[in-house]
Amino acid sequence: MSQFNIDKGIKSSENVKGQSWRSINILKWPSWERWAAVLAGLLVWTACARLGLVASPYIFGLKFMNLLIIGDPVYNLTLLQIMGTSLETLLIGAGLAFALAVSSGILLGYFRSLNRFADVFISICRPIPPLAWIPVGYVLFAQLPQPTFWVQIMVVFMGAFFPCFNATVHTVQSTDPIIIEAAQTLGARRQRQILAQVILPSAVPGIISGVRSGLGVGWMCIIGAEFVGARMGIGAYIWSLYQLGGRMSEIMIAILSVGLIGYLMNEIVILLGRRIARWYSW
Amino acid sequence: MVLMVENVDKEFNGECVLKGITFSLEEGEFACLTGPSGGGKTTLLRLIAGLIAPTSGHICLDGSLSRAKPDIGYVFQEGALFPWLTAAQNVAFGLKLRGISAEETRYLVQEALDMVELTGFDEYYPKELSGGMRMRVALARVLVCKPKLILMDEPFGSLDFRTRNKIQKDMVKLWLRLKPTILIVTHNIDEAVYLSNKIIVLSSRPGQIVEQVSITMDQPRIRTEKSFNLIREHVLSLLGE
Ligand SMILES: Nc1ncnc2c1ncn2[C@@H]1O[C@H](COP(=O)(O)OP(=O)(O)O)[C@@H](O)[C@H]1O
Ligand SMILES: [Mg+2]
Repeated sequence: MSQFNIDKGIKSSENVKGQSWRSINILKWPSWERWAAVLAGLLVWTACARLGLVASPYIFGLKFMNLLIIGDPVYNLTLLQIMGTSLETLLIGAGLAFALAVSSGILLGYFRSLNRFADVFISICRPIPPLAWIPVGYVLFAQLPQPTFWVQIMVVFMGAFFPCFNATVHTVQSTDPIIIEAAQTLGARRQRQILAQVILPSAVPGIISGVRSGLGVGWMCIIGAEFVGARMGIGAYIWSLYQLGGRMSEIMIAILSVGLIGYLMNEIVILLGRRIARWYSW
Repeated sequence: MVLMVENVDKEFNGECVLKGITFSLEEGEFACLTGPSGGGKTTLLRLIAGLIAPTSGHICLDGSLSRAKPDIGYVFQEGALFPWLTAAQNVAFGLKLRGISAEETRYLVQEALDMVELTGFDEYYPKELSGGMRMRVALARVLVCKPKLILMDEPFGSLDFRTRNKIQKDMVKLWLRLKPTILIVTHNIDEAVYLSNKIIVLSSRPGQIVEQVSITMDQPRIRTEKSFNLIREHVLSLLGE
């Protein structure tokens, strides 16, 4: 009887369930290390400001709030509006990329010969920096009403596609063969059943982390793509700040906002992933 | 006769792993397959389950030769549960494929989970279960399909001593209740003598049957009894230890 209790001990203490619940809790209090890092950063920054190297955190914060609420008088746009333009491009481009990357990744991960066939094209396209497609895009989309918009979509697409595609192919190919055999012995004899009931569900965490890195690369690309384009996204804003001359604080605010948004997007995808694939040890 | 294995040879890349394997299992028999590691025990189970084909020889289940064997339940090492499905969904997997209604599935799954003493763990994911509980789910997952033959590959090998003893005891109880035909691979002689009516002893490469030891002692058995230990000693001597 006592052995029986040991085997079931997990339930009575509820610790296993508790842990997984806590890990998906959104409002996590930051660790003391994080507080210390923020504090140390502020200290160093203040010291540098005293030496006259940079604007002080106070001035900087003031300018940041100003950009956020009132906006930049030169462009008559708030920081959020500028960010929104870039995010819009990102979400359209990356969304298209993910749709194609996941579906083609599953196909190529599943059909090995198809993968060997496409490998040479993929291997050549993958190392091309996404920004290199800008001129190609302008030629391709010259006839469309908003060529710059489409070029930017294309650049984001190129950046977001490969990380997601790679992750999908890899995760589909590395499905545990024992699990597939388990499904077969339980009666899943058709390939379609194996694909739908074993390979796809087990690929979900891998696809989510592919989406995560794709979104990250796509975000980097849009900033670069906007340096050459005319739509007033955050990249274009940074570039024009530079060209108008001097406004270093605004440039830094814009750059740090890019980092902050990238960080937040990453966290959101992780949280969503934990929601969607609660069964996975993230 | 539920299972008949006749003169089965298996070669991998020209290397003989199993040679001239011949044995049969009667309905309701609880058999153990034991032998040195690398002797081809897992290979033999995979052959019986139809996951691989023999180089020569025949394997008949219920008199039929077909490769697709939906009436065999296979419990893998470590359980091989689907990590994205809860315990109940894991157990329901085979039933869904057989097109059984949701209502009946729910009832059968509950019954199977009760049988392996996991009542109330329906909603737990495999990562939230202990090793012993995972094996119980794996067992429930095949029991629920009412297979003609249950194959188990070192099912309790990774469990700690106490969990292992408890699960062996439950296994015997379950067998006495349902009388399924079971073939279980183990390298633990004590386990083999405790559980089975018949121990099939395999030699090392190429794997050949050294002897089939029948055990007629009543279940459940007591490990410290003299007759228990005599059988143990005999099997150990067959393995040359
Ligand atoms: N798919 C395979 N391809 C090649 N060799 C294999 C394969 N499966 C098993 N073997 C070989 O067959 C032998 C027996 O393996 P196995 O059946 O796993 O032994 P056991 O389960 O008794 O430890 C091993 O030497 C192993 O290397
Ligand atoms: Mg083995």
